[in-house]
Amino acid sequence: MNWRWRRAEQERDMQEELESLADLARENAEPNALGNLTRTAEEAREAWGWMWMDRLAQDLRYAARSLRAKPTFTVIAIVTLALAIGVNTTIFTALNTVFLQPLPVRNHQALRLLTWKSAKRSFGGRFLLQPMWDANILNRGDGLKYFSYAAYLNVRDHAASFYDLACTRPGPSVNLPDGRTKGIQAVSGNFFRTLGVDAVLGRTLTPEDDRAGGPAIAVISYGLWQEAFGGDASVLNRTLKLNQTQQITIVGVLPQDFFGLDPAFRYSVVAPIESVTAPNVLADPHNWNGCQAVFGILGRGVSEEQGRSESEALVRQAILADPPSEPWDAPRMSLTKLDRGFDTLRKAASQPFQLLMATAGLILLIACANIGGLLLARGTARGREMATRLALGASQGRIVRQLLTESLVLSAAGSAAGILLAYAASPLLPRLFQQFNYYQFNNLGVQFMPDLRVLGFSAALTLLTGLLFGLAPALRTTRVALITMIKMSAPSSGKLRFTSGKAMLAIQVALSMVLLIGAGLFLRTLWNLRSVPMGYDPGGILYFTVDTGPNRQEFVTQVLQRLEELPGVTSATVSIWPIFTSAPDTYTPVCTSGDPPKSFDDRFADSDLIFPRFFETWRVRLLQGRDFQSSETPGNIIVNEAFLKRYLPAAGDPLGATVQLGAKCSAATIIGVVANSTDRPRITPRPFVYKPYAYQPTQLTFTARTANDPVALVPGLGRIVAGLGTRVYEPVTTGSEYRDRTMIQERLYTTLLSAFGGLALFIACVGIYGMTSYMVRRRTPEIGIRMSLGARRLDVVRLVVRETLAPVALGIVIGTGAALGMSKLVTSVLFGVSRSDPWAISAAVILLLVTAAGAAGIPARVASRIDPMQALRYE
Amino acid sequence: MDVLQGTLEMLVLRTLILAPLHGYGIARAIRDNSAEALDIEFGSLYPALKRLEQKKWVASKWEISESNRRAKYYRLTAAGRKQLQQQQTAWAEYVSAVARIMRPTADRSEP
Repeated sequence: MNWRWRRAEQERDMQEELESLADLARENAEPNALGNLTRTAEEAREAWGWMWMDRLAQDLRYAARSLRAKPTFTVIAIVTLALAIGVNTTIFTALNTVFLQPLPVRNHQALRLLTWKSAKRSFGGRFLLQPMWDANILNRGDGLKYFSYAAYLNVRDHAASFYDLACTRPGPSVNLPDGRTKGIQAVSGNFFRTLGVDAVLGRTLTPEDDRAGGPAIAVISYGLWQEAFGGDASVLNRTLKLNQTQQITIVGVLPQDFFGLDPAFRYSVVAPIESVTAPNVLADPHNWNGCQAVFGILGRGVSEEQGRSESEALVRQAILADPPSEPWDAPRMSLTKLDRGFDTLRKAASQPFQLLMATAGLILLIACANIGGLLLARGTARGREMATRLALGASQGRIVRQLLTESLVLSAAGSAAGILLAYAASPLLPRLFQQFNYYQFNNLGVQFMPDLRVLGFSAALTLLTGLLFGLAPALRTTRVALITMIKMSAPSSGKLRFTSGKAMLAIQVALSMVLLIGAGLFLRTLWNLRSVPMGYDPGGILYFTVDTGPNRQEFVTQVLQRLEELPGVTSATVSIWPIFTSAPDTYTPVCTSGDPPKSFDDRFADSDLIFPRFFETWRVRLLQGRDFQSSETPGNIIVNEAFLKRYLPAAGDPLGATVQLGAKCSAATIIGVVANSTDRPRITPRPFVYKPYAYQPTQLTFTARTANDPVALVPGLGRIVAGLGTRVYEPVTTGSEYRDRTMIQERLYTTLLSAFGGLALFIACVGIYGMTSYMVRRRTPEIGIRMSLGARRLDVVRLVVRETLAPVALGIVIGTGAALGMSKLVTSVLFGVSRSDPWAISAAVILLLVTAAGAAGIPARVASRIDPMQALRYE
Repeated sequence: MDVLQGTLEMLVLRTLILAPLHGYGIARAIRDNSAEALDIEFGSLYPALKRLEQKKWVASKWEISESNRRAKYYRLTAAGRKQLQQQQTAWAEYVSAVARIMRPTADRSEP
């Protein structure tokens, strides 16, 4: 400590000076001219301004000593604070990472993403967009990022407004040395130059690499380098298997924090677009999946509008070079800032994070009220000590400062533990995001770790918390001390009722109430969602989705056979998707009298390609007709009730009826009708067409129904899947997991609110216990008198518990009101339960009352065992 | 005679303008120059000196005194000199203002 050393130096110097002056005075025969040098020195010290430092050091020493003297209180307070600040810091870490941190690339400030909107969805013969996205949605949202490769090249090569314009799209898969497969991200050669990213090993890709027939090279992510190559520098020039004939050579490793453009997704292998993409994809000007995103750096001094209008004209020019046959509407371009990457994660997280931050804030408030209450209780007990200090000449301000220092020391200790907790919890945050959307967020780009901003936030929180829970007790303690000094005895009852302590208790209970009612509402929602009939039976189901590889028929037959051989398996089947998944390629246009639907807004059915026994396996009721056979006539289809109702409303036998389906309006014959099924309880079942699977696509879902517990079969099945040696899109999943996945948000909210509600309840219990114990101690003489006058033990317990339950009851009333107000935030997520659900509220009330009575009961029992004689001697 | 609040610092600065002095020397100089009318306690003077040093209006240095002893000498800094000029002006105005009010009056209550 520098100031201590400087201070000592100054002190020595002054002593020396004063001695020399005393000598001088003696020489001049005026030995008393200088007066009392000790007092002079003391006054001189004031001039240095070290005093506040001295006092602070004194306060800190004293705070540490008094906290050590009450270890139980100190530990409870620190643990409570550590939990509260830990939760808040962790959630802020996630918030900071998702919403505030820029892309970890040099040029993040200058990056602009090109997006467009158009009244038409298509610039060619194929569907560009999911039909669900009608033009309204299209023109309301952020616009689309897709471009044809021709349009991209035209803008890149002719736009004067951009320094660099890069394109990226998903590429084929490669086989890793460890047998796994990874998708390649195909990028234009200038991709890394545009972003401003250098390789940590080897080199990145350059525009020279990016040409048709160019070298088969790739760079890999830092994570993949560590995982698959053990971080070995010899990774350069090693090869990855692209397909049967082609190898791809690794030329570089990307920085550790680099993930790509989307914080929700991490690149593993990045290769030049022209060398890994089929030439016909890039050459087709009507394929608007040529580039998944186009972004660049706006030139110096070029306005956004200049860049926008120039790229708009060039895209239009590219479309005009080979215009689509159908009517089209030229895209209107926009430039979007890309400094934080794509907004996938931000969009998904924004609503859950409102709830998360709100609950975390509530937890912090509960912790503050809790410690504040305990401090108040302690403060009254310390009245005598403070009175003595006042009597010895300490000023009131000095004592308030002393007590506040104590609070801040406490909150700093709690925060330090909480921050450690946040460091430990942050690596688990990706699991939280998987809860939002498993498919999308199982390979997050961003890594979660507290940074300086997070630490700053926690420091501010620490200060705020310390003041919040410390100020009222500090002021009150001083007041108590003043009264004690005047009366020369501790105030025992009457004048100073313990109202502020009770208020703290009521606050804790009220806040806990809010969380518990929230948890109750979501538990009911989940229960309701689970009891909605989905049209299939998830129990006993197991499925996985894999790539079949080239020999489809053989593959399917073999896998099905192995599934059926498993013990307990009663049936097995194949489909593209697990039951009723809404995915882009499941939409099938339904034609009327030979015309494909004019408007894309309706006349669509979801569809799937299935094998025989699909309905038997998923237990979907077959209402009419028959199931598919193993070699079914291609034009035969099975439809659901919603399809009949929507497209064949006329009464009559649907079996044998013909409908026209698909872009070419091919005729299809209905051979069966099944009951509606849905994977989303909140959505009414949509029309659905099942077509027979004839080994067309390579991505397949194998489903088995077992009579035994499906969970027990997961590991064995997992081994079979791993042994197949093909790409796994989705690992072995049970039907219940599948069903629960559609309730992810509700489950997340239920879990969070239950966990936080439990935490709040625990903290409140500690508060109630502490408060009651304090009260018992304070009223010991009174209880002694009552007992010596004939009060029974039960009377004493009743007396103590009643006193505690009054603020608890008040808290319950306030909390219920607050919960009714706050539940507006989550109404949209609730299902089949009103936000003033009497069950949820009464469950929370009972839970709180029982726990509160329990927490108050322990000190009450202690009170009932007071020996009247001893209690009276106490006074 | 007691010294008015704040005046002491000004007196110390005024004393140091002539030559650097040690603490005891300053006390004696003020006493001598005021013909012993101002008897300043060292207990007030020394803290004032430290305050001036803290404000950087005076600087100190260990030197050998005329009687061949080590003593800490204080001298005026540039900032101190400027401060003194300001205070002298303010003091002069103050004195003349007070003097105007306090001038001897003809006693009119006498018959």
